[in-house]
Amino acid sequence: MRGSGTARVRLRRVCLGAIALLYVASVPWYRDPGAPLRLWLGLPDWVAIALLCYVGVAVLNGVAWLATEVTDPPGTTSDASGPGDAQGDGTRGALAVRERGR
Amino acid sequence: MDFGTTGLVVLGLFLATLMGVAELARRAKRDASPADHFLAGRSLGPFVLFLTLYATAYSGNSLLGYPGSAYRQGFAFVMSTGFMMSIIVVFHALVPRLRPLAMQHGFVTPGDYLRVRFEGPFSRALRLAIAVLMTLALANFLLAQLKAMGQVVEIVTAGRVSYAAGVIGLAFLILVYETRGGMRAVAWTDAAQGIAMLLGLSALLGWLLLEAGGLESITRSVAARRPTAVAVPSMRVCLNWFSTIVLMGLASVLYPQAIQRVFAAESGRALSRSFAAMTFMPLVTTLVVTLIGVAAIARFEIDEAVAADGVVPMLLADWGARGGPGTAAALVVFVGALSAIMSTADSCLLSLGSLLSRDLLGRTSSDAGATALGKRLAAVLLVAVIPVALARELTLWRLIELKMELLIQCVPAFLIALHWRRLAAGPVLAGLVAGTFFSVGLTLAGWPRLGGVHVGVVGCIVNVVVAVAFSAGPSIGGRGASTAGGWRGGPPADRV
Repeated sequence: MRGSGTARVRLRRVCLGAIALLYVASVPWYRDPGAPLRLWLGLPDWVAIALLCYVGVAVLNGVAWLATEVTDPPGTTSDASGPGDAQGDGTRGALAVRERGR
Repeated sequence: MDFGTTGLVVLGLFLATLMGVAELARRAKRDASPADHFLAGRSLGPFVLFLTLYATAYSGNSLLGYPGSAYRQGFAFVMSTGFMMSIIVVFHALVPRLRPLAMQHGFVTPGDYLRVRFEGPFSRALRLAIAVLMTLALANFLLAQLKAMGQVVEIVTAGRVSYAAGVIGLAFLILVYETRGGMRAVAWTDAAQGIAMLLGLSALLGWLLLEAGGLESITRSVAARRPTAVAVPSMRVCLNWFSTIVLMGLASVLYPQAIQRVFAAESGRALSRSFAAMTFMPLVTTLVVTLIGVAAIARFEIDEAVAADGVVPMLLADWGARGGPGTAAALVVFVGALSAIMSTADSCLLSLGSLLSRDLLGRTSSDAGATALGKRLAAVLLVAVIPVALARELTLWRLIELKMELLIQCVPAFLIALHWRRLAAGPVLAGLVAGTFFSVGLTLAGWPRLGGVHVGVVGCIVNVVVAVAFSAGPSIGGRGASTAGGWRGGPPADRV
């Protein structure tokens, strides 16, 4: 997802805030437990509302993940036999040094 | 050929294929190091990573336990779609901070992170306590998979293979398969298994909808058969709904095998793309299995709670017994379900091996001996769990809850420690002990929930209060964040 770092961070926070609200709204606190059955989209209405909330959560969370930058530190590669990995064990940096020191 | 015989033939072919994949994965190994065996040499790209995350997250619990729970609870179990999604939401608090550290320090297990993060006299005790909790939770998870395997095989082979034979035979095969192929075998088979599971479940739901004449017709039939299954839930159930979302969301991200997939990704970008896709999967998996469980209310009368875990195999047997395309489609679901269960069991074993050798026994070297020790310890644990799996008193859902109530006690050590440098080993250990004793004590005393809220969630609140209060006060139990290897300052604050 393109955009400046600050804009992405803001977008991500807005999405996560909206997700929290949707979770609260998905639970049928607002209905009387003795209420008669009302169908909507072929489901009890409170189930349909919960599902719509979860569809909203999925879309917002998808956007939030695309706006999330998960960076790998420079010098680390996806290749298991990268720099600092003389034993080919896929461990790097401090842990690898410590292991080799044993 | 009847359904049971066909099922037996398909089962044989499926197991032979798994062994073939394990052999290919063994040949693809670069070396015998723990990182290569347990993390596939940190080489998982977005597509395979997504499918392995998917197939591991949706296991025997999802395919048998969730429909069983939906059968017992009715439409209120739609909460499962929400709580499975909450896991991918909570990963936001873990991945952007943990991944850079994992790459910098070469983590293989969750304990490797704790070793770097915490210092002081209580750090080793904390690592051991967390390793014990994670081992118990994983052993429980493995137990649930073994039970699920036994149930599927018994019903789909129409009793030709007994529950006990299914548990023991498949456990042995998993052991062989996992030991030879490691994480590569798990990830490669997961990719195919995930697709088979998705297709199979969609076909099963389609058949149920077609037979019943649509969703509204199913809802009305369920309402007529059991009105409580469609009724608006009570406040107690609503509290339990919210508590389950919190419990599953917080605890599931701390599965060792989930954390290890964060370490195994080829890049951070692969991870964020995989999670963006994963967030939609509850809508096409958990929701589908929930509707299958609810639809079964109108078809079967099952009195015993444990027997309700067998609704999917019963539906499959019912569908398959009609012959023709129904048999073929039921077998696709059967293979998808069984492979999903086996792949999760396999992931548990793999994680257990690394957890036992590195985190519990402190064997952190990178030689082949450490890998072999992990494999041997996992085998011993598997053999120990089998007799428990043969006892069938607990429902799969209760097993899930028990496991999560243990895992959630690890929240401060990971989710808070990654964001707050002052959190120290001593207070985290004190909180973990307090939270665990609180949860286990009340569960053993017959109080699994307080007003609908899981005791594990209440225990976690106690745990967090203790850990934060003592860390915020005068220093006890050593320093908080280690400054080793560039932890000082941590990753940029704008990432979380």
